[in-house]
Amino acid sequence: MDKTAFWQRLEEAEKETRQRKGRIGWFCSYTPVEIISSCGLLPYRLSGKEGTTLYADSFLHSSLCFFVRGCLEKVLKEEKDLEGAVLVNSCLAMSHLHNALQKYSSLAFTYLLDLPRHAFQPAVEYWAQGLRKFHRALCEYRGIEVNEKGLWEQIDLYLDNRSRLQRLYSGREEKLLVDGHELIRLVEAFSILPPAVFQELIAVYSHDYLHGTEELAGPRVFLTGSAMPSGLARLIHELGGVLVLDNLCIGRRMLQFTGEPEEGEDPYSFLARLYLQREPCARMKFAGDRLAGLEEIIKKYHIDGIIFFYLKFCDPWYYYGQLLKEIIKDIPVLVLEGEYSAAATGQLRTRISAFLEMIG
Amino acid sequence: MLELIKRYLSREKAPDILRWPFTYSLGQAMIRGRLLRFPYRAAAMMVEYGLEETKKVYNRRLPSVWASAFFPTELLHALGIPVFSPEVAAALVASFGFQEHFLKEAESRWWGRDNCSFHRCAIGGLFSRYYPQPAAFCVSSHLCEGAVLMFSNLARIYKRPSLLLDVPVEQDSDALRYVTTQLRQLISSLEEITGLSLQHEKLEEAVANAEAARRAMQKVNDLRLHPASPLTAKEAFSYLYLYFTGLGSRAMPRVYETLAGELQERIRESEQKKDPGRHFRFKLLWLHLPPFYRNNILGYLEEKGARVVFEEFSHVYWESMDPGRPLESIARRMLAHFSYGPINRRIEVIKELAAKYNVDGVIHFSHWGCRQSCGSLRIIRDALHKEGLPFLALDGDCIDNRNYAPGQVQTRIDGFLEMLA
Repeated sequence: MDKTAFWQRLEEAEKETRQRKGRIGWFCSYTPVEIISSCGLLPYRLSGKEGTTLYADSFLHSSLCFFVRGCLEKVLKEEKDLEGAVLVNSCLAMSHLHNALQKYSSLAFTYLLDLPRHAFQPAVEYWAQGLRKFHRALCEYRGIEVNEKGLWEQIDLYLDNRSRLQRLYSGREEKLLVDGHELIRLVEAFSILPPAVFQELIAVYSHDYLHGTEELAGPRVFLTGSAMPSGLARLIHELGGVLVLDNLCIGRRMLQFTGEPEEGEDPYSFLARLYLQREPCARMKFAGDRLAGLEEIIKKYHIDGIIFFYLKFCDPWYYYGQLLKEIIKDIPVLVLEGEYSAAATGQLRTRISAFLEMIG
Repeated sequence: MLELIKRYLSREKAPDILRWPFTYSLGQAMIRGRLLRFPYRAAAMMVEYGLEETKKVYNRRLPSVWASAFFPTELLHALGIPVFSPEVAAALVASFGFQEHFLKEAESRWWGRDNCSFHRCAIGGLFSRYYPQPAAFCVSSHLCEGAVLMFSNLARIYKRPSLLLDVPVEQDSDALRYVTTQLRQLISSLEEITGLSLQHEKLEEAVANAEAARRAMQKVNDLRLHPASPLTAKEAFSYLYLYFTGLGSRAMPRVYETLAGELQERIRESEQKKDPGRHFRFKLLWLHLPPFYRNNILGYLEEKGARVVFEEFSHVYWESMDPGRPLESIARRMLAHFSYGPINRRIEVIKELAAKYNVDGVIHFSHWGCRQSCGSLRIIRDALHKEGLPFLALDGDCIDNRNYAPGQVQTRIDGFLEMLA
């Protein structure tokens, strides 16, 4: 299949998914989509409306980040058919979004799932119980029995998809045939499509487009930061940069699930382990620890520069940015503060372009 | 005398004296010599205690720690570790009027004005070496996300351990177990860091002190129901120093018991003289904190015939603590905060306080950068309107006075009071 045709097919699949009944919106990559899926519902990531959010602004305070306001705007104004939403207490803004959805949306089901900031054993045990309660609540809402076997099947299915995506991210140390914005686009699709549909598409992509000979050329970039406008990764490519790796929620970090279930381990403990021990979000206790590893990645992947984007009013990524600047001294770091808006990418164009020129 | 000190401290180089333990000894001597006067004996006791604790932090005989506003200080008092609260220090710095120096220091490094000014002030104070470098940064995750992040970053920059108590939103037995386990680990870490060791009876004593403080605080709150209660909101806010740093100390219950005794005495005197005190047209409930720099918001309200009769922060939200089960009691207190988690918890408490103190309206001081308190204001407003309670959200900043416009604030207050009339 021609690559353009592939992307068209992917977009059509997303469009069809948007029309489906039984969609449960989610916002944070710590959402255990496997549990939602095992209850016969479709976990569907909501990316938030980009640009002005006049309606949502009357419900959420102006000092909350543009992403949560965009998400509220989308649910209230555009996603009329959404059945429910599952939020994770990953930051204060998210818990306020949950408050607003409960109060002002017509969603039939909303749930706020606690998320520990630690990843040590007591936290894993605590979260496993939280996942169990969430599963029970969702089954109760659906009027079905809790089915752990069904949950294991979904865990396997999602793990398979995650590992297929992860394989695309491997081997990017030297010669690159595919730019990172395509990988991010695939992860976005993974977060929206029914897992079986995505499995077919990823198989096509892996088979057809990874065997080219034309090497990408240009300054090698590492992209990290908070939720960002959808066009940003592509913009780096369009401006002549090569996006080697990313460290985004809806990107590489969503795939780093490693480990096998231990003998007799229940699905909740296994899921808790997978989610909490993956590469952390900036809000986690140990996020800063991993920054030391970034220096190694920079060397291994021959990164010329880091682009760090954070949404205005996003505290976790703002503080992470300070650490990043403090720790990474050897290569240039471009810090971009912005809104959750495609229009803003136009404003970012000049800065990214100048940065790529400098590191190129 | 206090005014003279404040005037001296507001000079550019004056913050240097913050670092001298002698400053605090001098302050204590002035209190004892009655050169400093306070409206209540309890306030003098509290300031003397505060000076003693701060002196311990600066004289460095014992390893001290930074503790965030909601960290369980019972552990620190049980271990005998001097506590430095950067948020309280920011309020104090602002009240003396030299916060701008600290804020600018933080802003010149990374931390811009969209962030909480309590934290910027703390960062600036540490970088400019006015605040002590601690042995560890101790923070709890509930209510204030900025503190977790700030403590973690500062710990990295200063190569000190960062100890996090992760407090869940849930309030069930699993959450209790999770917090209790962490408290145990925190004690071990603190012992290792400071070289001090915890005696179990000291922990029991700290929890007994916290429980005695809780009962005394409740006594004060009940006395404030009396129409002749003389305690103003401004005075009540000053006792938050103990609320943030004193739980577990011997001083806190003593201060609050003394305050309760003094209030009782003054109320009795008013009754005997048949002096009902000044009549106010409107009684108000204050949500979140007030600005700590020189301002006249509470004074202006009183000028206009409205008095803040209670503050959200003075509410005793936790159940009684059992010294026989110290860690579980502390964990329960951590989990009980009404402002954390679903907004209905906070709304129910606001409604309860509004009914208890029979208020005519509610004012929320919306501190810029505080995502926790401001995030769901619209829902609070809607819920209070449903109860027929007028609500005013006053935008402002507790520490940074650079955008403070008294005229605008007064116009908003005027409009609000007109609505109440």
